[in-house]
Amino acid sequence: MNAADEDRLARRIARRLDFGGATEAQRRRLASARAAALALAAGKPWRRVPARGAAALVGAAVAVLVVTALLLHHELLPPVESPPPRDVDYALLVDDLPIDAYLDEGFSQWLAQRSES
Amino acid sequence: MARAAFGILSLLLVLAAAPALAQREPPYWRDLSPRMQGVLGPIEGEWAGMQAGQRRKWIAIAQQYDTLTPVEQQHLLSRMKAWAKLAPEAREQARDRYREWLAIPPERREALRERWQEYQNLPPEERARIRAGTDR
Repeated sequence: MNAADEDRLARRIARRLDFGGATEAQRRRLASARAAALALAAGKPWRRVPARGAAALVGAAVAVLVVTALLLHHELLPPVESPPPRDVDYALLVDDLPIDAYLDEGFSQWLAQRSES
Repeated sequence: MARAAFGILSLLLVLAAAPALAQREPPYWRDLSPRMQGVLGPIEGEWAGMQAGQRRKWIAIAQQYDTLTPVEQQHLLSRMKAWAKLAPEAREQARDRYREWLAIPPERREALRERWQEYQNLPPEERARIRAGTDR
């Protein structure tokens, strides 16, 4: 292939890419070839672009590392950081009425009857 | 295909390990100060089975113990165990009714305790009849 042929081929490839004609597999192969060409031109050793399976494995490993780091971080936290709550549970526990009063459907009904009469 | 299988397997492993991880979560009973252990003593038996969020909530409640009146302290200590053992649905029911009764004017709300005593003094059959009436 002479220089003119190479130039024509490059223009055809560029046109295909400009109009989205390449499939995912073709794009990957092109990216790999480009990386190889650039590495050769720069005189560096070329490393192949990782395949899909390898990328998924790397992703899974990163996910495992993140989860482990989160668990360790949580494990090392001091026991309590939250501000004292003034929530319903707290109010119920110190209220004048016992919890049973709130749970007894009969009491609620009886109060309603008394207020009606 | 292999990637999907790997993803599903990872998800299953995480889901299977979740309850065990929750049990392992701090704060642990042994890490509590002696003072905190004293206040939370009534629920020591339930501690191991609680989620971390519940434990933190109890600790936050216990942190206010010294600011409570003696009567409130007594209420707290006597109700902790029962509250911790309640089913989530029952706890939600109690919260809902508490919020509902908060709308009652303060003067009538103060009378609720007396009304509860009156209700408690009703014969058990009478209370059962009233309760049965609520089911209809």
